[in-house]
Parts: sequence; C-alpha cells; structure tokens
Amino acid sequence: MAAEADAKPASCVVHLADVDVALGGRSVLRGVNWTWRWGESVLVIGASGSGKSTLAMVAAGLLPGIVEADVSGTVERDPRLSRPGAVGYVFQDPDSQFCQLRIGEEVAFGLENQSMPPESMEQVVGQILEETLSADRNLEHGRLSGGNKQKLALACALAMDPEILILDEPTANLDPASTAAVFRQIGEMLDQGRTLLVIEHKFQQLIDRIPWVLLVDADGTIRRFGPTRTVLEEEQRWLSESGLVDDAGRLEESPAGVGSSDEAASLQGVSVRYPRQAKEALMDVSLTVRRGEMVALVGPNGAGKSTLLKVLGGLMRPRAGTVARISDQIGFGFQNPEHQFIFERVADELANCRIEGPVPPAVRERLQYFQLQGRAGQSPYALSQGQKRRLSVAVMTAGAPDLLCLDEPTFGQDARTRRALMEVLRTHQLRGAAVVISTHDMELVGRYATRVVAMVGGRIIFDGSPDELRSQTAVLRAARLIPDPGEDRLKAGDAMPSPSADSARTAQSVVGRVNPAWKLVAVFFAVGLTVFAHRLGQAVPLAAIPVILLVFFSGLPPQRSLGRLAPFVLFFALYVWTLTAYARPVPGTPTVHLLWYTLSWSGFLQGVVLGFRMLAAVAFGLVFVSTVDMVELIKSATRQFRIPPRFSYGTLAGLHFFPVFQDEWSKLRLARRVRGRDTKRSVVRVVTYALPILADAVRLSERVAIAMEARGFVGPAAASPQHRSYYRPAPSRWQDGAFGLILLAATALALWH
Amino acid sequence: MQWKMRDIVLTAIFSAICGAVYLGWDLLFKALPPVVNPVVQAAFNGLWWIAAALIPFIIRRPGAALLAEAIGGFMEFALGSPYGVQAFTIGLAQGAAVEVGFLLGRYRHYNVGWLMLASALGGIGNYIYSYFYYGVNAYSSANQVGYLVMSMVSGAVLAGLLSWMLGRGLLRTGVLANFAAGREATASEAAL
Repeated sequence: MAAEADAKPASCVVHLADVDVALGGRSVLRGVNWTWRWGESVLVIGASGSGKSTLAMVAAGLLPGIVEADVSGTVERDPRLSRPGAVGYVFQDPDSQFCQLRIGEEVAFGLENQSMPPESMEQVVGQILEETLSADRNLEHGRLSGGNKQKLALACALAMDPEILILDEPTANLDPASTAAVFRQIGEMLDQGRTLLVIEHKFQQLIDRIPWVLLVDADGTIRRFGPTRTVLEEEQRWLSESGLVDDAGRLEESPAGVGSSDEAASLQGVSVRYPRQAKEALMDVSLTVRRGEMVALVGPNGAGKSTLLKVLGGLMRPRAGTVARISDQIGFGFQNPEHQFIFERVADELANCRIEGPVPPAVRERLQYFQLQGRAGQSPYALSQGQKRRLSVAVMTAGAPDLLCLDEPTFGQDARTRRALMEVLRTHQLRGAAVVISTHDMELVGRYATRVVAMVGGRIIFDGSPDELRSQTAVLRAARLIPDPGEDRLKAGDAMPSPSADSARTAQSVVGRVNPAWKLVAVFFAVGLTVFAHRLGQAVPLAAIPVILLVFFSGLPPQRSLGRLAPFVLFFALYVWTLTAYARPVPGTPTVHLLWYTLSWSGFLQGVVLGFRMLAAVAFGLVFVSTVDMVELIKSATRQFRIPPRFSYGTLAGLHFFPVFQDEWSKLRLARRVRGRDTKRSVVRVVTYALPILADAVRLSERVAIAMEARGFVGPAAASPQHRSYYRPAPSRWQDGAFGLILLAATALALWH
Repeated sequence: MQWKMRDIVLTAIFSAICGAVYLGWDLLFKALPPVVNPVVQAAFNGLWWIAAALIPFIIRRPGAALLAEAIGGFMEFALGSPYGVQAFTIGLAQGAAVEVGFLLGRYRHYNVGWLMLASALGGIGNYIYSYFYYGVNAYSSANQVGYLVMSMVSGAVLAGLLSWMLGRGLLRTGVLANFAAGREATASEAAL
C-alpha cells in the first residue's frame, strides 16, 4: 500500500512507518505503514490472530510498555494522547476490565487517576451514568448484563474526556439485542464527532456508519486502508478467502428418514433450582429430542439454556420431573474448551489415556481429521482458540455418542472455524445422533438447525423451525434476538436491585461508622492481646467484649449475629478436648486414665481458657467483617497507611473476581464427571484438576492489569497515595481514635482487673 | 525485581483462590476425629501456606510470599473461617517465615529444592504462632518437637512440592510467558 509518508505527524493521531512488532519472540505485525488522522474513524477487520489488537495497543500507547514487546520502526503519536485517560479503551471481555465493586466507583476510578477533586467527581459520575446506563451508582457491576457492562466500560472511558476511543471487539460476548445497543452507542459517538477505532468481527452492521476501513492480513501486514464502501467492494474475494465473511449458502435439506421419529432423550415437567437461589432455573420444562435432529437453544443469558443442556446430558438431576434417554452414550461440550482437558498432551487427550511411546495410528488419524497434526506433544492449553475448540469436540465425539450437547460451541470463533466445527457436528447428526447446541448466533441457527427452542426465564417460549421463528417478532424480542426499542436503557424496576437492607443497617451502626482502616488496627491489637489471657476470669470478659459489640452495636439483628457464632460451639469443644488430653499435666492436678489418654484437670481448664480466647478472636473477626465495606477498607488503608495504590487497588481488583472462580470450580467438577475421572485418582490428578482454573486466573490477571493501566493507573497515580484523589473518601475523625482507645481499654481491663 | 501490575493482580487472584482452599481445609481438619494426636494433626498444616510458595514461584518478587499469605489468610477469614481473624494473623506468621527462605536464596532460587526448603521454614512460623495462640505451649515437650517437625515436613510437601507440580503444569500451558517464571524457563531452554 502507499505509505503516506508526507503527512505531518501533528495532524495525525498516530503515524507508523515500517513498524514490526514481536510478542515474546513471535512476530505479530510486519512492516506496518499507516497514518491515522484526527477525525477519521476506522473499522479494523482481519482474521483471528492477525494482530488487530496488537495494532490497536500500539496506537493507544499500551505497547510497548505496559505490554512487553519488541517494536522496531517509527511510531509517532500526537502528544495530546499522553495524558491519563486521553485514550479510552474498551476491551472484548466485559468482566475483566473493572477493578472496583460498584458502578459509581468504577467510573470514578479513572477520575481518581486524573486527580480530579472529589467534589467535581460526584457531578461527572452522576452525569455520565445518567447519559449511558441511567442506573444507581451504588449498583454492583457484577449484577449488570454483558451488554450493560460494555456500556459501563464506555462510560468509564467517556468520563475521562478521551481524545480518541478504541473498541476491541466490544460485542464478542453479547447477545444480538445487546450487540445492537452497543452499536447504537457507537453511532451516537460518531455523531458527536469523536475519533474511533473499532475492531469488530460482526462488521456488516457498521460499514454504513464508520467511514474508513483498515484490513489486516493473516501474516500481520496491512492489506488496505481506505474508504469503507470502496475497499470492501473491491476486496470481496480477500474477505471470503480470509474466512471473514461466510458466503456458504443454505444447506440442502438433511436426508429424510434418518430415524427421525426415534426419541433420543426426553424431559417431562422438569424443574431445577440452584442452591441459595430464589428463582428456579428451569420451570416445568418438557422437551423431546429425536435422532437426526440439530436443535438450537436460543435466549438471553440466564434463561436456563446451559441448565437445560446439563439436565439433558445427565450432568444434573432435576428437582422435579423425569428424564428419559435411549442410551448412555452422551457427548457433552462445555463453553470453555479447557474444561474438557484432563491430560498434559494433545495425543493423550485423543487417546483418553497416557500414551507411552509412539503415537498409535488411530490417534494419528484423529489428529489429522481435526487438523491437529504436529501438535501431539503439546499442552492442550498452549493451542490457539480454534485448535482448542477442535480438540474439545474431538474428545467429546470420541465414542460416536447418540446424544451430543454443546454449550455455545462457536463462542469466540471466526467464520472459518465456526463452519468447520458445524460440519463435524452435522456429520454426527446425519449419522443419526441428536445434536443440541445453545447459541446466540442466528445466522448459524438459520443455516444448520432443524429446530429452534427459545427460552426465557427458565421456560420454553417457542419450539419450531427456524423459518417459523423468523416471523414471530414478539418471541424474537423476548429472547433478545432482536433489539426491543423500549429496552435501550435499564428499567428502573427490574434491573436495579435495591441494596440489601442489611448493608445499610450495618453501615449506620456504631461500629459501622468507624473508619475501616483504624477499625482493622483496633481489632488487630485487641486480638493480639488475647495471648495474655491465662485464667477464666480474664478469658470470659475478654470474649464478652466482641460478642456484645456484635450483638448490640453492629446493626445485625441479634438472632443473626448469634447464629453466625453458633458453629463455634463445636470448635470450642475440640479445643477443650485437645488440651485435656495432650497438655502437660501440672504436678498435683487430678488426672483420669481413659483408654490410652491421660486426661488432666489442669489441661481441661487450659482448654476452656483457650476456647474463650478463640471465641474472642472469632467474634472480633465477625464484628469487623460484618461492618466493613471492602472498597472503603482498601481506599482508607491506602490513605491512612500510605500503601502504594498499585498494591492496594491491585489486590481489590483481584479479590472481586473471587465469585467467578467459585462458579468455574463447579463447572469443572461437572466436566470431570463427564469424562469419568474424578479427583480420587492420585496426587498428580490434583494438578491437572486445578490447571484450568489456575491458567484462567493467570490470563485474567494479565487482562485486568492491562485494563487498569489503560485507564490511567500508571506513574505517580499508581505509585503514591498522595498523587491521586479519592472518590467518596471515608473520613477519619476523632471518633475513630475514641473507638480504638475504648476497645483497647476494655480489653486491658478484662485482662488486668 | 520490580513488581509489575500483573504480578500484583495475579497475587491477589491466586491468593483469594488459596484462601477458599484454606477454608475448605479448615472445615475438613475440624472434621478429623479429635482422638488423633496433635503430631499427626500437624501433618495437615502445610497446605495452609501453599500460596506462599506457589505465587513466588510464578512472579519471583521480594515480599511475594508474605503478601500472598496475608491476602490468602484475609480471604479465609472473610469467608468465615472457624479460626476467625487468627486465620489472617497466622497467615502473616507463615508467610513471613517462607519469605525468609526466599530471602536466603536472594530471590534467585525457585527450583524444587528451594521451594521445599522455604516451605519447610513456614512450619517454624506456624509453630511460633501456635505456641502463643493455639495452646501448643501447653503440650508436653515431645509433642511440641513432633508438632514442629511434622509441620515442617508437611510444609515441604503440601506447600513446596505441590506448588512446584502446579507451577510446572502452568509453565507447560504457556500462559506464564509474561511472568518471571515463564521468562526464565524460556531463557534456560534457549541456553541449552
């Protein structure tokens, strides 16, 4: 392409000349010449792994630097881009770009990095949230839908008043209705005259809106840059050869009479409820699946699609209703292909056992069939996304099962891999297996499915052919397959859960109002002092202090706080027993010989004292945990104890992912059950068992860290607590000191009265 | 040796996961019939400081063992450990002791031997804390010595060896490429 070398760097956002980029020794971008001018909004198109994201990160100034890379050539960026927040960046995964708990704090995080005074923050946060989500600022972002999370990410970027905005596949994880909402917002930003760079696989809907297009070839070179319409018309062939548009027509009808009346599995009146969930995940669902069918489950996230698949596949027993299956030969595919892997090498996965020596011919044949030749000795995790998916399908279809259940098998795959995958499933369908998949991809449904089942809120609202579904606007809307014009914004009633009454009450209580950082110090010292309690006369009043605080001053209802202490009764008994049986008896104390134990009276007393000391520690802990807010604790500890924000905010960011991993763990247990190898095997198994979770955690850490730094969490704002401002800072008042002193005085009095 | 942002976030996420494992271990341990001698019980101890070995193995930064164990212990406490806030404070003692092990290696040695040695030192931290706060000072001398030795052995195996096995597994997956462990593994492969 023509290198527009004569352009003045000042008039452009970014100017790249002969730029090569390598990540970890692997060449990603080659000989890139590109000038991006102010006001030119660009759509970036290219196959998975072609280096689109890398290019965007070079433009954003994240690479090299925040992301380690070898970059050669000339990279010139407008000096205006170097202030924090000048580049707004929205990443693909809605979950891994946040680092606080509630949406107000999240928007304010970027403003804190810019050291905006707290008084102005309130107003900016309020205004941005009103414009984008119109949601309460105390709403936890974990409770937002994927589409609204992406809107929040945009809001966070917009709050920092960016010069340019970069959106890296913002809709990859979203259902069709949410995708449309995000695209609408992109349209609004273009109307406002902003300069955008958008990477998008589903680019068809954007070609009328974004005036410029940049095509990236699979080898990491720039193919074309120019006006969108012209370029895409001229590059039709390249687009289909690169697997970016799927131009295959409608499939011929599947041959009739593949035993299509034989039932493969049927559910009658099935209901499922997850523990600790008020609503049922499935409500009185009946469904019969026949051999030779390809059934697509569609509907919004949380509609019960995955649960239905699990019940159908026999991974989960329903609370009510019956499940009948003609055979035990079931293949189950999880959304995350890594959950399927239990061995250290690709060949072992395909053989379903550890192969000693050379790879047997049967396995080699399967490697060939799934285009995994040359990967036999690799770790399954080290494969590309597409290869992982192929391997997981290879594993699950191994025994030619009669029923195949797959949870979003085409998630995150480009057009080419998607087609290859669906062809494999179709082979099994034509062989006479029943195939059931869940998906958001309506194009795929139209082409491959023989039947569509639409679900909303745990019920089936439609069951019929794809053609019938197309004409039913109300169903399409309810299942979020097309946008609902009235639903562009969060509805006040249903999407905004009210903050629980408990947290409001505990926050207003005596202990709840104490500055969290100083409260931690006070509790810490009080527990430390328990070591001096040696007699019952000391230990009992000592334990009474936190129990009284918990029951009367924490804002928790008294029965609830006592309920939380109840399990401790058992542990108390254990402490007493251990010291009664194992303590060194004080000379002259009465002892009892029972079996091979020597039980001593002095040990018993020591045990009771230890029990009360432990009760004090547990109750102090409960007082603290029940009255503290994690975000406030981290922020006030940062300020009061001068902790570098990198450490405190980084920890907060990591901790809020905890629930994600609880969820992963239960999925993994199911996945292992499918392959018939549970934990019991050996110690080595523990390692392969933990690996998917840990590998996921490593990748997540990297994404979160990059997202935080992309939001201006760099330099002094990240290194020193004085060089950033704080949104809603928890005040530190004389009452905090008074609380600490009274607590320590009471503890001392209990010990030395 | 500078901590990167991703090192910090990884420490937090891994420690939180370990904290949940600790809680499970707490409950499992409490289910152990109390007729078992404290020396035998000490064989359980090592897993309670696995964060202090696994995380330094990956990120290889000064202070990693202590920070990991502090966060892991805090998480264990916050999730409702039967040890209350002591789950956090004993974590500091265990983490600090393992930290000494890596400090002795001048933060350069992270092979299996060194991981086991550092994790064994965690047993000393555990002993000192338990001596003052868990009534170990009241045990007979023989029980105390047995408790200490068993804790150290348990640490070497359940924290050190297991971390090494997990770490090796993660290295093979290739996800550690941008962390110290991954970079050093590539460098030593290139040197061969």
